[in-house]
Amino acid sequence: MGRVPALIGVLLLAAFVLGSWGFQSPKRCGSPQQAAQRAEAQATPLNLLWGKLRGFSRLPDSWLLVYQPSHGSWVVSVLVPDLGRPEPPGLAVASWLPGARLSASAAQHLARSPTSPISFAERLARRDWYFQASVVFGALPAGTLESPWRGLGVFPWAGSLFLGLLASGALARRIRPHPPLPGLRKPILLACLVMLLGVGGVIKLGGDLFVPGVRPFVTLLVLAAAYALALSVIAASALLFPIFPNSPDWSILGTGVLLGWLGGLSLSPSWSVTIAGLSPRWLWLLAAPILVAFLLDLAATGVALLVTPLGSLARIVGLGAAAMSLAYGGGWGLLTAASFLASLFPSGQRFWLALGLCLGFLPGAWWLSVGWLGPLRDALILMCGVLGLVLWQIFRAPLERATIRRCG
Amino acid sequence: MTRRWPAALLSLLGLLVAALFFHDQGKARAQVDLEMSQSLAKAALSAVDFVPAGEVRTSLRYQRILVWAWERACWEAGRASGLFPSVVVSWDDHAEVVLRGWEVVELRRPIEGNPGPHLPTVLLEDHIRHQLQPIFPELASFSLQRLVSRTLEGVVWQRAYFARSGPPLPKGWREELMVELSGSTVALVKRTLVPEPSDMGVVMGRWAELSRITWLAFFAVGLVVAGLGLAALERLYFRLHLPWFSAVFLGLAVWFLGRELSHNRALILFWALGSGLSLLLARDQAGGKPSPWPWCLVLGVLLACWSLAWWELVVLFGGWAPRFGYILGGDWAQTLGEAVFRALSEEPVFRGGLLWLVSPFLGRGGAGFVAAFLGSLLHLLPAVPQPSAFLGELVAQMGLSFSAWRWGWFAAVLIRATWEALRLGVAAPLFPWQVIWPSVILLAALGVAWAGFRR
Repeated sequence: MGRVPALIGVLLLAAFVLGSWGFQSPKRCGSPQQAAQRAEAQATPLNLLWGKLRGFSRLPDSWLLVYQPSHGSWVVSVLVPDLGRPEPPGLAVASWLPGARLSASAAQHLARSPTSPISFAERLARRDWYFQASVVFGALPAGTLESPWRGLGVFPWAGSLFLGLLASGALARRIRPHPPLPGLRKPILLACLVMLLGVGGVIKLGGDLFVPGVRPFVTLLVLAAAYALALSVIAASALLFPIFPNSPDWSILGTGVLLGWLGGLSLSPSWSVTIAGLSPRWLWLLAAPILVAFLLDLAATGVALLVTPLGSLARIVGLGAAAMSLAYGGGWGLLTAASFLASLFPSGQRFWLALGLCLGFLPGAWWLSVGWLGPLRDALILMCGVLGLVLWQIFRAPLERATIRRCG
Repeated sequence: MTRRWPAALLSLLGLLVAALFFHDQGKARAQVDLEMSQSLAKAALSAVDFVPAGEVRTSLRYQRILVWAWERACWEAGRASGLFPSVVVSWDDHAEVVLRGWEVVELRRPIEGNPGPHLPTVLLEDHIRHQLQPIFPELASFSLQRLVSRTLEGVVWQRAYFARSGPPLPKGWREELMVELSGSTVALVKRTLVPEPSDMGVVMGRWAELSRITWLAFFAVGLVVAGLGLAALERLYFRLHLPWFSAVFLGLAVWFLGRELSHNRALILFWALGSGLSLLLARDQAGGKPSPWPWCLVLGVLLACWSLAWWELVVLFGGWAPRFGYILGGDWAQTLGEAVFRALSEEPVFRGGLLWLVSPFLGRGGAGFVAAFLGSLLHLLPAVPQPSAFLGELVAQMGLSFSAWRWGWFAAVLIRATWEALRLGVAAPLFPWQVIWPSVILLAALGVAWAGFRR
């Protein structure tokens, strides 16, 4: 890449950064820790212990916090809007816990509901009454439970497509062997190890898996084990299906960072804000992008294998599929779209493009939606560091770089 | 004499111990006699002046969680007691009697013609007690709670609710009896056991936790099956010689067996795929000749002993575990089929495919441990403390991994089938355990003797 396009890129980036300062979204939110403090201080009391904060999730204008005591008999969920008081806490109670068998009118009086109950459930030693916006467990009135995953529904098609692309990518790496680049295995394995060390923060993402009747230590163990297993599989994949990038084309990496930043700014999905609340945050900014880039590169290899028979149409199909995934694929569509996009680049540079996309996405997403200092500071440091490295590499004296074309 | 005679002697000794242990276990098992149940059901119906007509059918009904909660409550009270599974005896004319052991817990009869005169409330309790005394000898310990009546098409239907608590029920448990009369004819009797919430809560909570742990195992095995699928596709692309016919045959066998046992379709497909792929890729690790079947039978018997003794050990050390484990409601064919299904579906994957896939990373020992670990997560039972259930399974699964390392994974299939048949059979009310265990032990002893002492 020459200096002129690079300069254009830098100018574009500068314009966007300045623009984003000018068009600050009013949707900046506070941290989940602040939301928890507000919930514990201001929410309507439930007359039972909430237990520890087990997980949190970002909804469009609020934080959803999930609490469970260590005996696991109930789960409390609180919706804390960014503006305004926390909603009455939702409660889910194990079906075997004893209580009272109230009449409908007594339950209605207790729930302070203007309407009659919708339904009731006879439990082992109590009767539960369900109203429009509340529920009475035995003689304990509470709000209804919010599910953070209500918008996701069943496993989405884009997720299935991404898994299929990963499988075809893995197959492509096995049936079309190429000389691997051992130098990149170590960063991937190291990233897996570092991500494993951050398991304590990651399990906060599994708030919906805490259910009444299951003690939280069991849920935490299962979550941690599944997470470790997934990381082990990625580490094993790095050995079995090694990537073969050329030495980085800094302009492609820079383009990736820019695109990722733009994507993050424009989409800013709620899960990215949830991640901003996890600690340690640097895992997600540095280690996670390496792993996701490896997976995107693998999926892009799969796309390349699948569209080979299309010849010159392959690029159009790739672009169209990327646009479709982005438009209709939801959260998983981002990964699928990135895979299709990366497949348009030369095989030696896909990893670097994907790495750029991943490095730029979270800082971009946080830039407009996060309203507390930590993530903004870290995102700024990361972006300055990455872009500084890219610009330094582009503008330094051009060196003779070995490429796969020249090698072979 | 060959060098195998010390092992043969040891095995015969082990089988002798197993025989004594099984004999002891067999005394406590709850077996159901279907013919006796039918005659008891007929007698119960005749006590309410009804003679059933048409073909008679019997089936088993059991509430596993309730049975375990009962066991736990009795354990807390310092006694060992189990609940019998319920036998449902029904006729073509919709008459139905449900028996738990020798006790009638439900009786339903059709009302044809005139149901008799309506009884005033003051006479109702005496009438019910008089009529049901032959069916429920312990009816005196029940007290009347309330009466409800309604009129339907000119006939008065009345319901009487009785209840009792205290001995012989565990602390906090209640038993309710509902009697419905049409006119003066008893139309329906239903006896319900109401458990103490904390007993039920421990069992239900543990069961829910175990289902979470099982998810983890399925996630791990799913990854293994995906890896095997990729490896198979790679070999297909390079046109390597693979035992396709055997793999498809095994997959189909698992599929049809699972369908016959009415398992979930997705689950059967998963195991059929996994076992087929494992055979495809790890055929050379299945083991060859000479066939070690006598030793496999011995190990299967010893593992079954271990599984049954483990619960006793847990109780001995102050914990709790359901003594009779999984209760299968079907006949002997279903119990045997379940044992074979578990052996055919899980062993090729854990001891074949998984070892083949993971050994390059962890070595055969490490891969064997991973296989045992995952295998032990699949069929856990609730226990207090919970890890005790896992530890017992893990030791048995380690035995299977060792056998697969020593003789190949086909030996593990045989051992698993024997082990599962014996341990599931002891809790299956219709399984001829008293015939099966001596037969297996005799066969194993003869096989070991022949293989160990021949010149």
